[in-house]
Amino acid sequence: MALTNEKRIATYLRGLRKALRGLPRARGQEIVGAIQSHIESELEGLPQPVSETQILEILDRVGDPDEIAAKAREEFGVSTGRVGVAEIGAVILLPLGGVLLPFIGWIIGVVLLWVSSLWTTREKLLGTFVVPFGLALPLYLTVFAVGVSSTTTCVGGPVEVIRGSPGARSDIGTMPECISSGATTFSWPIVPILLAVGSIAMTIYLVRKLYARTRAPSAL
Amino acid sequence: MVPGEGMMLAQLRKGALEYCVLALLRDGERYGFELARTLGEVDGMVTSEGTLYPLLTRLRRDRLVASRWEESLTGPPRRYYHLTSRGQAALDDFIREWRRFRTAVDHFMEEAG
Repeated sequence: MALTNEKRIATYLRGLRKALRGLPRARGQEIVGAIQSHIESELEGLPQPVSETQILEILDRVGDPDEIAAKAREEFGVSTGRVGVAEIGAVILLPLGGVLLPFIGWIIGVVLLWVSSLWTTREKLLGTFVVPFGLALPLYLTVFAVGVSSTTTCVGGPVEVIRGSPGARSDIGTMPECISSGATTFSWPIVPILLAVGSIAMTIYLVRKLYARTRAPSAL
Repeated sequence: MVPGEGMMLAQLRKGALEYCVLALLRDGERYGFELARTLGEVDGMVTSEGTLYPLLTRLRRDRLVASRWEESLTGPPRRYYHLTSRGQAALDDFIREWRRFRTAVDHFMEEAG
């Protein structure tokens, strides 16, 4: 039945797509497309309607998705090799870049992360977004929160201040100290600590991946 | 077959396969399915036809081959592959090295009896 045949092929291609996960997206798509085209070319040459057995034979000849993915990984997978400037730079600048060289440092770290060929796209995404700006973010929040709370004495209502000479009007309720900023609404110090831990944990994660890849050639 | 032999054959095949693909394109362009079929017909070259495609994708990336799309009368559009000048040069290099290697190995095989 045509429906079953289509389903079989669709299932096969789905399995192939799954097996190719982790590879650069464009390459994976190209391979799936090429194999889909290959299967269609096979079907073209056969008298219709095509039997289920023939479909199975065709899929057999095309091969096991895992085998194809293994070959693809050989060609396009994360390379194994030596740790270089890019990797060392990324590992240092991702957590510390924002602190050492404000604004620029972390961005350079991200660029080095993505330039490197020793991490997968997924790992690079994690390294970029967990935690953005690295340790600079919790550090900034800490400084900001401490700064705010030291100037915010907004307890007990407006502060009466007498300006100028006696007899002049006193300003009430216009003191900037009473402006409540967003910083005082988050639960300090949990958030900066979590962010710092997250950033350090992510750096350790990236280092471990590097270690694995520069040890065993094909044991990804 | 001794287990070690299987691996050795796989390694040899791995190294030579891309040059076999380049050689097939020497006389003109071919589309993927054609290449897969031709390689599959020769015993010992490919384990499965599908494994050709990652290789083709990589050859394109490395600019050893280039491709173009052509509408097919009977089916979906086909991607036709052809050799680039870079690919031709790589093939020529390989042929030279391969002949030297083959001669050397044959020499020792004959000696061994």
